Amino acid sequence: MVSESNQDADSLAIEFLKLVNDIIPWRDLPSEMRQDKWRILAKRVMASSGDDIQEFLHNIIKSIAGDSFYVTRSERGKEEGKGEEERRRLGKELEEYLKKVKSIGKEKELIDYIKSRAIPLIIRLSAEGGET
Amino acid sequence: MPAIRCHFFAGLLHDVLKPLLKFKKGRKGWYWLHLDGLEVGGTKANLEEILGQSLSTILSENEVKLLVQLIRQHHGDAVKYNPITYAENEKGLGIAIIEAALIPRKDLKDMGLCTCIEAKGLTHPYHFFVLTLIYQGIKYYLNKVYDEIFSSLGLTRLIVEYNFGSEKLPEIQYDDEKLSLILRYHVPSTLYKGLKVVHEYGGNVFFNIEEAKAEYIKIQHAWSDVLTFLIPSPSVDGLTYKMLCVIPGIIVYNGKDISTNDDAKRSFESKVQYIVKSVLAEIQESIKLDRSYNEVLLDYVEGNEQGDASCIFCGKKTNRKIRLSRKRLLSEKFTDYHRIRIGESVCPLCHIGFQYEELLREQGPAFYLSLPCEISSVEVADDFKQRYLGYGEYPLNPEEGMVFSVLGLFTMQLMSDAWYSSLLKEVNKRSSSLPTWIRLYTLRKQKDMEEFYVKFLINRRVVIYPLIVKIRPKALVSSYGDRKKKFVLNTEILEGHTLWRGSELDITEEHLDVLEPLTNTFKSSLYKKVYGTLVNLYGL
Repeated sequence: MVSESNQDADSLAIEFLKLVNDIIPWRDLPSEMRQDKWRILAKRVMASSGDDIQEFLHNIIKSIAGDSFYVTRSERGKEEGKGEEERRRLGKELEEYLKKVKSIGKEKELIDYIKSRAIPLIIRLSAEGGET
Repeated sequence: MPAIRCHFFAGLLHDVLKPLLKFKKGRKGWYWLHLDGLEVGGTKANLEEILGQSLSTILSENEVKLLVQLIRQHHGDAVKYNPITYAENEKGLGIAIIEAALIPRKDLKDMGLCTCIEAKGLTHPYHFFVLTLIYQGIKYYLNKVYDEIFSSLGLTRLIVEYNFGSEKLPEIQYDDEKLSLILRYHVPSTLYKGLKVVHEYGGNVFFNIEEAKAEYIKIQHAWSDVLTFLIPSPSVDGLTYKMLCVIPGIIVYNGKDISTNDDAKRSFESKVQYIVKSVLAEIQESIKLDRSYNEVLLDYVEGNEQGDASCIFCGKKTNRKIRLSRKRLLSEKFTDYHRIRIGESVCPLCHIGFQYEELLREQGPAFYLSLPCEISSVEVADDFKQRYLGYGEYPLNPEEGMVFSVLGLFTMQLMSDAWYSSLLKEVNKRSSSLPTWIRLYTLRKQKDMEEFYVKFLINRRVVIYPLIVKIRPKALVSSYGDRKKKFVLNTEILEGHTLWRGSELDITEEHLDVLEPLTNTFKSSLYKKVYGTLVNLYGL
């Protein structure tokens, strides 16, 4: 069980990795990379660094996808029976996320938490999205 | 013999009502009620009724009466005239303490325990490797000895079933053809209603989780899994390890008084000494050393060194010279020169450890020996706590060192074993030169993985009702790699936070804690894929 003090960091970390995964244009990358995406993502997260969470995110994405990234993403409507597609505005979500992290004020700790637990967090992310 | 048989079954069945978990608060604290008069489902328990009929094929009417009498009197000041109390109580043998504490206050030989080996001065992983190999071999052969003794008393198999749900008196069945005894307990618990746990003990089984489903678990044990111990013990020479086993048939009861049977003790000890020698010889034969260590191996295990040179692995004194060239001790694939000292000598323990590691590495899969786990947390089941709400406290308090009184050393060792079994699977293909008691393992394949194992691998929680214990497994591991990997010294004790090594990253307790939320929201279709991702990302 994740201890109470780590619970905030844990949910922020999952949210962070979900955003990173959504921003990376996996579809445009070579098929070998797509097939091994979770391992590549885990390795890049462990190897990247940054003075703040924004720079950390930027470095991870850049190390995988160079300068290309998604700012919007289509997603199926979450309500059952609705087959409509929703447009997620990733740029806005990212902005809100960064604001939230800055307001909490423990960016360094969050970066350390994500880097040191990258593999289990990514396994969770892959399972939660049903994509393992 | 019939009288001994009666005493044997009395000892085996004396706590038959304990799994009902009935506690009463008295002036001196909590009492665990487990004798006649205990109220179960509106009726009062009667030991004669519970035991009499089921044992009638093996014990006469008078023997059943004696058995019930011994069970009824096995508490209080009965140490002088009750063999069960004599075995348990510190004023007698006090053997129960070996389960409850690591360091008994009494001399071990006064407790009905035989010290197979006392190991001193172990410093290098190879030393522990050889010690645990010896332990495994001794356990295997002792199991045959125990089986012979118990079979002569009418027991070849003991099956203990725990059925969780409503409260009911236990059912006992004795099969006089198969010489097997079934104890069917009904444990009152709403939280685990429907769960059935079966433990099977016998002479032909190793510890093994035979079946593991969410509501049914079957575990097999050897007799020696619960009757032999490897315990650390501080002494003036530093930390020593004592390999102990229970001496059966040591108590003589003539119906009035108790004495000890020195002949039975001597006879058992000589069997143990023979087994120790055989196991040491078998280990050496399997690696085909050009010179035998028969004379000195036991000396080195017991901390005695001789010679002027020092071992290239551990620094112990030795007079055995060895050529390190690649065609001699070291394989052509050896790369770990920075981890050995300059010199050309090796001590018997490291030589055997090194050669064994090489032999096991050639087999490909992993080899591990479980060590007693550590307990990282203990909770008491909520439904159990609720039964005692009116008292303002409940009988088992994890804060009061109760863990050791419930969890014995062997339980902790078996829990480690269970955790590693969730990750590893025994392989049948093996070299014929390996002793029969060596078991080799390989990582479970994704397609063979079951949901129960993935959950247990991640959450490491064991229910020993009413306790829910989170464990930190420990093991001595050798040969992770397959035969294609280049050779490195890879025998080590996995303890602390590292639970398994991966080529990308090690699996740690902290990492599994992060994965734990997954086990609550697991979609059954996903657990195999989660395991596959885990294997891939950690490089297991």
